[in-house]
Amino acid sequence: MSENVVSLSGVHKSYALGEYEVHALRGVDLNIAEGEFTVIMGPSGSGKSTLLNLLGCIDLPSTGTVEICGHNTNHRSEKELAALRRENIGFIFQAFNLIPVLSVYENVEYALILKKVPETERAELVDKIIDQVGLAAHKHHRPNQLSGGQRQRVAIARALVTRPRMVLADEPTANLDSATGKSILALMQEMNDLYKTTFIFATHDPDVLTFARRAIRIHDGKIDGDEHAQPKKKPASKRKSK
Amino acid sequence: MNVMKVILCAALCAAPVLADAAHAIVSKADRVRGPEGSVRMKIKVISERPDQAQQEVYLETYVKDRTTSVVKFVDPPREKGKSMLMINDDLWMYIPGSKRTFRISPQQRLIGDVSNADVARVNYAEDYNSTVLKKHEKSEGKDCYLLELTAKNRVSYHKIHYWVEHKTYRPVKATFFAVSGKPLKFATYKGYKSIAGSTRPTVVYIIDGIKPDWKSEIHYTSMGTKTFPDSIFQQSALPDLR
Amino acid sequence: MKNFKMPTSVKIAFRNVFRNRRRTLLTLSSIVLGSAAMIDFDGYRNFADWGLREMYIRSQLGHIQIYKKGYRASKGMKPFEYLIANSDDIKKTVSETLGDRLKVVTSRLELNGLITKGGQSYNFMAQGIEVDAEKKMSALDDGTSSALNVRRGQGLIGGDSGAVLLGFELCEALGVNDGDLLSLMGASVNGALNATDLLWKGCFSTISKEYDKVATIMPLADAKRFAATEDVLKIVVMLNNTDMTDRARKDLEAAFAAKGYDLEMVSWLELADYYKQVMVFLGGMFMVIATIIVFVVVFSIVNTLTMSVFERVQEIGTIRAMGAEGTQILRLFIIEGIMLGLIGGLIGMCFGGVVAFAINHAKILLPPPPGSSEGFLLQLRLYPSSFLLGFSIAVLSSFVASIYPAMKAAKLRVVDALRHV
Repeated sequence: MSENVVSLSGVHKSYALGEYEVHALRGVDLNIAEGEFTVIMGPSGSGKSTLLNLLGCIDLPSTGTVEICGHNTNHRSEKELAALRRENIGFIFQAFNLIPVLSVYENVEYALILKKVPETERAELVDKIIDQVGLAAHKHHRPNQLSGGQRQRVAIARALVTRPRMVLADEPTANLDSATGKSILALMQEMNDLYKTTFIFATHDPDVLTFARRAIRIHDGKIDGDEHAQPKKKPASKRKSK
Repeated sequence: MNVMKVILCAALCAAPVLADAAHAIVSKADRVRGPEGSVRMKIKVISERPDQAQQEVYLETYVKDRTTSVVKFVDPPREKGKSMLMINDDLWMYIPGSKRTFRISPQQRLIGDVSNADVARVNYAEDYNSTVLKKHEKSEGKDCYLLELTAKNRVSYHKIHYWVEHKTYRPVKATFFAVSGKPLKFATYKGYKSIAGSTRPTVVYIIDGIKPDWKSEIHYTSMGTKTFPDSIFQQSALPDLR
Repeated sequence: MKNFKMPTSVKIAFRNVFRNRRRTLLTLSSIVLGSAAMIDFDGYRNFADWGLREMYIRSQLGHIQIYKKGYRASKGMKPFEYLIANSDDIKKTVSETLGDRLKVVTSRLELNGLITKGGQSYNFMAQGIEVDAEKKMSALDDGTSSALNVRRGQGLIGGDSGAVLLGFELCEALGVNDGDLLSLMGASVNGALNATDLLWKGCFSTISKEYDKVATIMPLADAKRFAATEDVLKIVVMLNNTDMTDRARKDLEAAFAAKGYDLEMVSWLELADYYKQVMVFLGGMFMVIATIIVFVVVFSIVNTLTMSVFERVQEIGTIRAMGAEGTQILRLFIIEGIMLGLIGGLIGMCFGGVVAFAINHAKILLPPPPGSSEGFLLQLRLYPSSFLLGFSIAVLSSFVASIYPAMKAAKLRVVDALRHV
């Protein structure tokens, strides 16, 4: 059995919204193993974003334990959590969240710079991943010169260039048309196969399901479904730049 | 009651009598010092101070009467040509180098502790109000009246204590006081010899009231009656005085 | 390779500075104007310093004054006890020691007494001067002169004898006219009364009306005759350049010691009380203006950077999610702030220089300062320190201004930041 990259036990999370207290997660137990390609599905307000925040070590539970890559996040300082993220996690956002003043190359490189990877090693890693996401021709373009799909590819490259143990993607296809979205998902699956990086998505896009091997449903702060999909044939990888 | 009246009357009458007596004494002392009427005197004034070279000034004084006199500077050369005219309270000085005569203070010093008035005038009887302080006081081995003289005009010292010998009415000693009551200088009258028809003091030794090692001397080297034309006793005549 | 070996944070900061061109331009304008204003006002202050100082030196003080030993301690109460006997000798020594550093060396004698015309007598305080030498002293570099402000009649010229200039108030009190003979009476050096008649030549005014009530100037020869002495009270040394003063003084002191002179010396700065007061006052004003400028610049930058932070909240959240620590965010914005300061400071130095150049060529004539008859040409004097000042103000203000917005950025909660649109 692969080691768990994610291990949640008895996790509750509440936060204040004005005068009200919102109970976003009400007792979640969850284990995700290395190399999984998992989707967390749920409607708005189900707590899936909150769950993803906890998984990403950018937030802490109110009660319960969150163990990421073997590290318990409770009682960790901001500095320690940042280190955890740097070493183990890559992020992909719905709005791509690229740094507008940096080129494609520089955006991807930035993740390595944060990890203090020396300059000599960086070039090789960056060029390779940019190649793999099919953006070699746009290496020196700025994000505002790229299409939505291209930007998300950059985001993927950035998330993966550091070889994290897991990649968290919050609604990665929400801002893309269905065709582009599918090609993005295909790419991520390819990466998952290639590097055995755990991919965890939060989404309410049903198309994503077809790519996932595991689907966790969350509703009202509780997990109410956890299906493992049948192994599927890999779709032919198309290197399409859109 | 009557006794009281008599005593009171006597006391009241005595005061002017006493004052008269003092005035008479001072008058007589004036006449011992210099003859009445028109006199020519040759005077040498010396000033000695420990931190300076000895200073000497040679003068000729022409006295018309007890209120009017002219002083001519004879020596040293830098003083030669200067002259002073004293009439009552006023003293004018002529200095070669300027055409005009300057009004100066009779109390201004000539040299040392000797003032201009000291060499221009001897008229204690007219210039002071006098009273007898002590009828008998020993001074310099002589039996003296001790008189107190207070200023009547601007020319004078504020107050003088004057020791005059009984019977001979020779001035023996004087102390000159400032307005504050401090002694300005002490004078002793010495060198009594026969000159201008009487035995007169030819030297006055003066010691400074604050610095006992500052000494001055007035020597009357010659004295004789002489008549002068009235015209020399005018401001306009000073420059031409020979 | 556009940003060859530039640290990433600097690279990002630089590009972010120019992200919003218009906003940056506005902010830079305030920095440029602020630092240029600082530079040019410093230039003005240096000008005022130079002008006041040179006026004082040339019209009164000279660079070095030589007295008999003990004169200063006596506070000038008994001038005749501290006269200098062999002035010609001493002047020769001065001349030999200083060589071509020396512009002119001259003697002065001071007297006091009563001055009379008709029935009126007033106190006077006189300076006996060597007229030609003093004229040479008072000529300024730019052709103007800080000579005496003669308001009626004429000044003294070399060769004058038996003539006298009076302070303006004294003139009025005596009611002098052409041809008037004034009688002066006072004590000579041996205490004897002396008098002399002098012909009125002119009336002058100085910075002090009080002084003008008693001030008198006469040729040195007349003063010597009045005081019955060949000695003088002061020997005044005028150099060709004020900066030479300290060195010249040391050289003179050594030369005098070697000759065994019983003299003491004083430099112009020790005598220039009014000048020092004015400079302190100007310094105070300068501080006030500097503070205002700093406030304006800081305010402008705080504004800009705060807006910049606000616009980039999501970006900050992303970087934090990627594992950047709060201190790195802090550094990023502070570098941005400093960069604004550096650019603004550099442009400000250029702008300040250009403005100063323009002003100096406009040949603006300032009104005469008190006690002088001639005006000054306004010439801002910029030294390297002026530029450094303007530049530093820009950079330091920027640094200080960036602290608050940078701290705000660093303290953002990642979750909230990411949620921000």
